[in-house]
Amino acid sequence: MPDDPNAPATPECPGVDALIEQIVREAHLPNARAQTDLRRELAAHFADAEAAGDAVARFGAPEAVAVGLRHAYRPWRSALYAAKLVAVVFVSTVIALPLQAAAHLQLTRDAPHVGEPSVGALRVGLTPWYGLAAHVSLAVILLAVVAWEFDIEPACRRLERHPARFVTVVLGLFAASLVAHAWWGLQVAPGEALVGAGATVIVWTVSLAVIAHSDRLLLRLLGGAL
Amino acid sequence: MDYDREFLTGTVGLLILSLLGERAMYGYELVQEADRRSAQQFQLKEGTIYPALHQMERAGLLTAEWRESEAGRARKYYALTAKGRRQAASKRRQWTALAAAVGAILGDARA
Repeated sequence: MPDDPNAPATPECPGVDALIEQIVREAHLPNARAQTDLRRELAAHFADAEAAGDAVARFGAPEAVAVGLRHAYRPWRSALYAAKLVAVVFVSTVIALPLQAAAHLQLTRDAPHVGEPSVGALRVGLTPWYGLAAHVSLAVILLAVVAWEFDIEPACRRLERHPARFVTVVLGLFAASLVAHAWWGLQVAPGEALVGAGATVIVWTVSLAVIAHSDRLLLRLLGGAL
Repeated sequence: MDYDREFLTGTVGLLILSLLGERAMYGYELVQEADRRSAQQFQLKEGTIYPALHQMERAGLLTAEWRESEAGRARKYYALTAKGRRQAASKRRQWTALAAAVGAILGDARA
């Protein structure tokens, strides 16, 4: 066993040392640091367990423990995690863009041509704010992913489960939107600002729901004790 | 009592998450705590705790840090992350609902 100054002293028991080395070898951990860490952890376990006697028998088959650890360190776990992040952003964006489009629909009437009836044709289009709203939605989605993955807890609360909180956030964003427009000297109808704020908060809520579901799916795929 | 493996496989994760929801613990301490609280009804093979802990840490449900005790012995303590707390709550809800459903069926079957 390598001379590790951090490893607690195990009792004089070559069986324990051999068992630990077997597990570390068969676990196929990705690097020397992980191997040293595991060796140290198992040595600490046996140092604690030896007082109760029969520690090796109570530990179970080293082959089974090694298989379980190999499962935990499979290299494609990182690829699966990256795929989850990409899928979350994609799905949330696919939901967000039509949602914002619906929130920014407007009816306009063409100016009548000379000689034609005074009422021009009615057209359905998007408000000038749609482009900005789409970019804001993408930023909101990325922020939601970052908040979830880095456990920024207040931001991860599921607003759809707390209607009062949902309404408060919408009204807060609405107020902030009016202030921002006034600051930049831009005109926006209060109704438009309120609908836009509501749509943005829905994008945030949907993004968190998509992330939560994808997490559950990922944990199911990873299997084991999860 | 010896339990069928299929019963245990799904419950180890739930037990780890529940116990760590109370405080950070190291592997041997988790095994001892499960043993004590179940009055020796739930006796895991001690080694099986480590693959489960490492899987959960790699999945972002737990964090781990080495701490030295007053006696100078270093141990690797595991604690729940926010994701881990959410997973613990979800598993606890599922278990409660499942236990009630199975209990209702077994109760009806006895009748």
